[in-house]
Amino acid sequence: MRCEETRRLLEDRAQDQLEASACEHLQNCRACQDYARDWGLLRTGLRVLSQEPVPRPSVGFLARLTRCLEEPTLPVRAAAQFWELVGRRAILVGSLVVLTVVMGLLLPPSGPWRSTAGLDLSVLQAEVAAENDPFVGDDILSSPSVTPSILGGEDRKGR
Amino acid sequence: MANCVEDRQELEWVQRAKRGDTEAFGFLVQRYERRVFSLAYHLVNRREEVEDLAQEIFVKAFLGVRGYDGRSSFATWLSRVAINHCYDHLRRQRTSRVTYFSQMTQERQRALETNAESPPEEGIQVDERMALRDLADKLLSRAPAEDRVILGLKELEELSVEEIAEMLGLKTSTVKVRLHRARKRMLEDFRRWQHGR
Repeated sequence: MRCEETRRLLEDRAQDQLEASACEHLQNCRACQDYARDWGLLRTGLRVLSQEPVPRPSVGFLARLTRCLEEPTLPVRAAAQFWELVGRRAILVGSLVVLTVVMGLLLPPSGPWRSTAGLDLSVLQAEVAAENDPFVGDDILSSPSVTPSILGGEDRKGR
Repeated sequence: MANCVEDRQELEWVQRAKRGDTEAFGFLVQRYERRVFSLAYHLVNRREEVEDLAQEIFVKAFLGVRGYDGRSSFATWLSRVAINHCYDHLRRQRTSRVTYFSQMTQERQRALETNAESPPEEGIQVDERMALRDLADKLLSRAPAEDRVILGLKELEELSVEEIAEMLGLKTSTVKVRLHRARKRMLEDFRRWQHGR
């Protein structure tokens, strides 16, 4: 028998009520012996707790409760509790939506939070124009002032 | 026969309570107040809060009684309302993990230390039992609300796994697993306390 099974059995039964296989495991397993000892201590404490007298309703409990139930504001209070719970969540979701929209409007069109798609398109257009322009040589693409910003890829690789 | 009459009577009270009859609901309160007080006490374990909690539970039950469809007994349904309410209360009121050992008396500390090193159960003195009671109480109050509820129902209310499963609307196998996990976590906390002495 394994430790886990033995421990499950130990939780529900006294040690002398264990099956033979569990007893055998317990005799040879130090960890399970510790488990049995600790659980025994805790169970004793829990038993004492369970035997303590439960408080009883004070005099007039029912009368006070009935008065409370007859209060005209009771349904209103229940509705208020409901809206308090729902309202809190609605405010949270609303705030998140507003924050997303505000961030969308405020963030710059490119940078670490946005893709460089717009920039890439303009670069591509410049490249095509350069290729078609007989007066511009191939060296425009290899120009150090243009390449890093235009071909952001190489620049990124460099980092 | 007597049970049958009682059941019919209870059904009538429930029907009247569904129509908003507070007098009929009052009869149900009288029948089940002990049960609700016991659940509230064992799950929350604060004597001074039990009556307020019980009142809140009955108010909730009165407001929700129209939703009671009779699939389970009224007692089970009411217990479920009580357990859910206590669970919410525990989650709201969860005490911080303060050191509790300092709250015990010197004698109890010594008794507890001796106990942790000797075999349990046999010949435990009253002082030692009280020290263990304090320890179990503190470990329970530090446990997560979910563990607290399931341990309270099993160890303090002394309900069977089947009864707990019915009240919580879970399978018995799920209850067994949760119970084992809760006990294991409680023991781990106990050992942390032992090592941190």
